[in-house]
Amino acid sequence: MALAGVLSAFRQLVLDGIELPASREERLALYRERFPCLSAEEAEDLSKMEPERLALYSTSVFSAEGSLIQGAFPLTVAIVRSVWPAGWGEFSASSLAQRVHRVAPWSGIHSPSLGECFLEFITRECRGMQREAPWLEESAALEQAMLEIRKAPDEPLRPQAASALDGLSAGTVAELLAQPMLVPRLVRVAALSWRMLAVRAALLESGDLRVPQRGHCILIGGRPHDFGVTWVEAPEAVAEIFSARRGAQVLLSELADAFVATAGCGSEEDDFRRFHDMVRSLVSAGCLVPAGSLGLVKDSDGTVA
Amino acid sequence: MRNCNLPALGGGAGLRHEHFDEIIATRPPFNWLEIISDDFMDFGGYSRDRLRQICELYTVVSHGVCLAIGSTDPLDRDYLRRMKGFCREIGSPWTSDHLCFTKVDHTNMLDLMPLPFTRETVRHVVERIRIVQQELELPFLLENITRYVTVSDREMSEAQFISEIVEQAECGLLLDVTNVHLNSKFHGYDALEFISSLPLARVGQIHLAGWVPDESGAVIDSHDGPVDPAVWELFRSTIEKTGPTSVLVEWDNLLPPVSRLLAEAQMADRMMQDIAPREAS
Repeated sequence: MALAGVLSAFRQLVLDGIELPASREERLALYRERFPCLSAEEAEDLSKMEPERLALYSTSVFSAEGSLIQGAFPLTVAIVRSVWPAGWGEFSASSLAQRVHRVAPWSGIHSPSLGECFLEFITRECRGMQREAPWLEESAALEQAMLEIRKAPDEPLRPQAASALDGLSAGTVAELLAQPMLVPRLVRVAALSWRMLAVRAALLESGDLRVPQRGHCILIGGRPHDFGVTWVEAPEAVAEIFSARRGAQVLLSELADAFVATAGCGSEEDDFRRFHDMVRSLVSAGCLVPAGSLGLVKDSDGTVA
Repeated sequence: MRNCNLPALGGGAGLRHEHFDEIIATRPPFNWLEIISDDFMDFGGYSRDRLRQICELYTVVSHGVCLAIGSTDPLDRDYLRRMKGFCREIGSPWTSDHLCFTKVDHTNMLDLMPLPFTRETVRHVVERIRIVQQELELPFLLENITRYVTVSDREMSEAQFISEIVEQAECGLLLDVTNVHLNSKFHGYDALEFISSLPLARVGQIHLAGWVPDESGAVIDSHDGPVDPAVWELFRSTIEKTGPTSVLVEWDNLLPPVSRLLAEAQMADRMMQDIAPREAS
């Protein structure tokens, strides 16, 4: 138990922004009061640690955490920076990470779980910022989905090029629609009210942070064979199938029914052509993988065996 | 026992994402490469794909940063299970992590935090290493860290602490010569004396790294520069004592071109060949 108390005290000294007195005697008094579970010897040992040396750890931790957040959430961090409250002091990735830590300490070891902490920070602590940039939360959710897609484990079936669909299209329409496809587990669906992807692309290309245009869209995101995250716009009913069936098979006919129900224009030929284009895009984006030719079977829960 | 009964691979380098494509395309003559296993083992996609290709070309050794062997949080058995599968997949001949804690109170500290040098800590860490070794079924090496503070040394010195743990746990030692050099400066002791007092037969691997001082001249273990001449000298003195081993140059920030990294690895290899010619395996 003594070791646990020492490590916990060390954690608080490094991460919790405690003001440490320059004099060792004052530090000892502070530690005795703040860490009552420590023995007299343990408190005395900790008081020997010089504040400037401990600060090296604090700097290192928040600098690393800030870099991870900035790397995974370039758009969201740029938005946060643009509306950073004056009362929060000067913006830096480290100061952002410190604030994230106060709200949602990172308990995992992988960047997607750090992303969840950042989302929690945005939701709980950035209400004022969201009045100035109402697209902030949407940006954070979109970039978290991208992080999850990019980092997701590989799946049994590898994404294929859209041309994989050509072989399947050789038969009749009925044969094509009967094709089983796999929705990879890593697929994510994003419902946006702002055109965030265009703003993100512009930021990464030129460094300019633009104000997004309003525009409702539903996006399905996957990881194609070249491993970049790719989004495809789709009707809501189609996206719902992707949300519900991740890791499971879906027949093209099910997608076609959903497509026609919400996006059909009345012309069968035109509907089929647009549906076929959408499916090609989804295959190309790694959101759908042709599964039938591999003889995959479904478990009772719909999971591909 | 010599070199912890592990193969002596000579000079190698830390593999970083930025170098993947060049290494696959040009196949530079590294003896071996080390990866941070936590950057790969739970992920797919680009990095994992490139790693598969590199594993077909080189001996790749796993090195972890998230085990938190000294933490008082429960040992993560699921992490060990995943690590075991990953090491098997890449054919890692051994694996390693740091003598430190990186997590406590279920909070990720994101850095290698120093432990108190106490008998309680020794017992705690030894017990956890035994579990790690049982679970991984693979030789396990523990690395000495750079530390900017001493949490407690009233019961024993750092060298005693390291020695007692690796001897009692019967694990290997990944001796980071740069860390010993930096600690000797931070805490005022003789680096070679420190190394000489360790159970050198248990050294199965050595790490070397460099740093670039900040504007004020202050130095931290930043892994962002070439290996310092003083560290090369300490390394030479060390391998005179250990004999042939596997030496790894770490360069994690402000990455150099692959050719520069290779030159550092070959320098380590040449120095080892001069001092202790590698036996044909």
